[in-house]
Amino acid sequence: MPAAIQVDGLSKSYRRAKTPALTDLSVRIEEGEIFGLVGPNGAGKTTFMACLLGLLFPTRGKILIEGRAPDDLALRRVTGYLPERLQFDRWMTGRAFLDLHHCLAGLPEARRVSDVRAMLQRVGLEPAHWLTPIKKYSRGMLQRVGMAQALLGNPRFLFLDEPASGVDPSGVLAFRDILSDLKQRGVTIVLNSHQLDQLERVCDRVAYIEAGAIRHIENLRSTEVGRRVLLVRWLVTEATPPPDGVGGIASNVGATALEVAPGRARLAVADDAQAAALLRALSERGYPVIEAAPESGRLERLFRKEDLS
Amino acid sequence: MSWSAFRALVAVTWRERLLRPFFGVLLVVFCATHVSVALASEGLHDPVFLLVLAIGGGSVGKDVSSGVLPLLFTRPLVRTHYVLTKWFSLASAVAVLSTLTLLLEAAVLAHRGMGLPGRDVAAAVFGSVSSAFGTTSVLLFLSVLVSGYSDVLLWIGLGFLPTLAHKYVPQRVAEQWKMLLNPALDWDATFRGPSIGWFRLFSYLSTVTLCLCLAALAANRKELSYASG
Repeated sequence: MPAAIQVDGLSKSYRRAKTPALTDLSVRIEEGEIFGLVGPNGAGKTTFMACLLGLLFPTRGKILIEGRAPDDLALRRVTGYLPERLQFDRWMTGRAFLDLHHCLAGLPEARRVSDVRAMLQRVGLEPAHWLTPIKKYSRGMLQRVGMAQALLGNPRFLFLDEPASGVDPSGVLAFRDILSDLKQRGVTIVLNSHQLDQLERVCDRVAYIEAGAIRHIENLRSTEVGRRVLLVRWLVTEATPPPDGVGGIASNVGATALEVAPGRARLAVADDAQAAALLRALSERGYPVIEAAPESGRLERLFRKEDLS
Repeated sequence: MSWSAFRALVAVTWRERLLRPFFGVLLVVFCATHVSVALASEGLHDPVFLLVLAIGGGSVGKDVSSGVLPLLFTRPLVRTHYVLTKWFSLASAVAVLSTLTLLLEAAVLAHRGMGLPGRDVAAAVFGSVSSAFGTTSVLLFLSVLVSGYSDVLLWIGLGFLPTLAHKYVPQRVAEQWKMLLNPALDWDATFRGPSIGWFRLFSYLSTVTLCLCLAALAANRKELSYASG
């Protein structure tokens, strides 16, 4: 089955730059998948997204979206984009801005008023601000109107660059609901964000990009979790043995005790099987485990270089 | 491009360039000054030159530097159509304003008893409109190449080249260079002479066509990104 987005050996160099922005990047994104991009600043995420949108031309390699080139006009009719740095015609009102993009998207004029109104309501922009010039919008309001234009025409491909940046908590929740709804409708989404917890909640897979290359792709739908540090807490009673024994128990199952204190420990495990064995052994040896949680999220570990393989 | 998208882009460009309060006041003052100058000199005073620079400058470059263009180009919009629409909307805005100013000048002169023959007024309007569409096409090409309003500076700089190099540039070349940067049709020289001035006519049409083709070519090859900029 053909991929929704197929990237093969993508490289991109800017004319005056000493190092390439992207190097031999290959990835396959399935239809209906929410694919996240994370990485340090300047890693090449926005360049990658611009290549996917046909705004930048690859130096080498190929991008196919539904078998078409990214700048194919038919493809652009089913594509939505929310840029990271929202630069609109600032004299326009939010509503006029959406009217313009509704028109440029080739959507029927008869539906313009109802479509625009529905989209502004969907992103939670208060009607009192619909006729306010964009230059008076807060950062959160800009993001909302930007999201609304990206969603015009019910796109099948959505490219979102830092969608929740500057948005208040209710807006973050609204955006998450929108993404869940889009996911259910089978929209393929490429999402670039620094908000790791948000990515973990909505993405199926996340690529960690560094120095223009994909270093790792984390499958967040996989139940298999690799090496990590567990924070383990146990109940301390008169019957509980002293914490000194925890190190030995960890060694016996192949884990490492990084730090041990009365009632809690930081333990490094290699995989799920080792974590299960460790927790079972602790309970059997008289440490009543009441909590065991990973010290950091799965994506956070990518930045800590714990999981890069 | 659909008719509806064309109308929308023209309307947005007109609103952006003409209907913003500051710009609007400036244009009214500018046109009023021209009418005064026409009265003082007892003849028509064509405002097209400054109007082209004020309205036609930064046609595409401003959209690039402000970051509006990448978002527009993710829409199903042929870049060539966008460039041609920009040219038409800006040139037509200049043409309408310069025509109105010239007609106002003619009306005021007539009111003061210094009326000009209708043929002279028509010739001035025709020259002004042709200059609006011609010079805007040159500025449009430069605007695709450079960002912001740098096209205006570039255009002025290129205009000074023959003056700076007058020792090495023959007079004929300097005249052609001027016509290349400011293509316009002179009604009398082109149509009312003993025979039609085909050279002027084709020179004008070929310059405008060349500039529009080069602008479209450059726009299609242009890379746009928030990352690259």
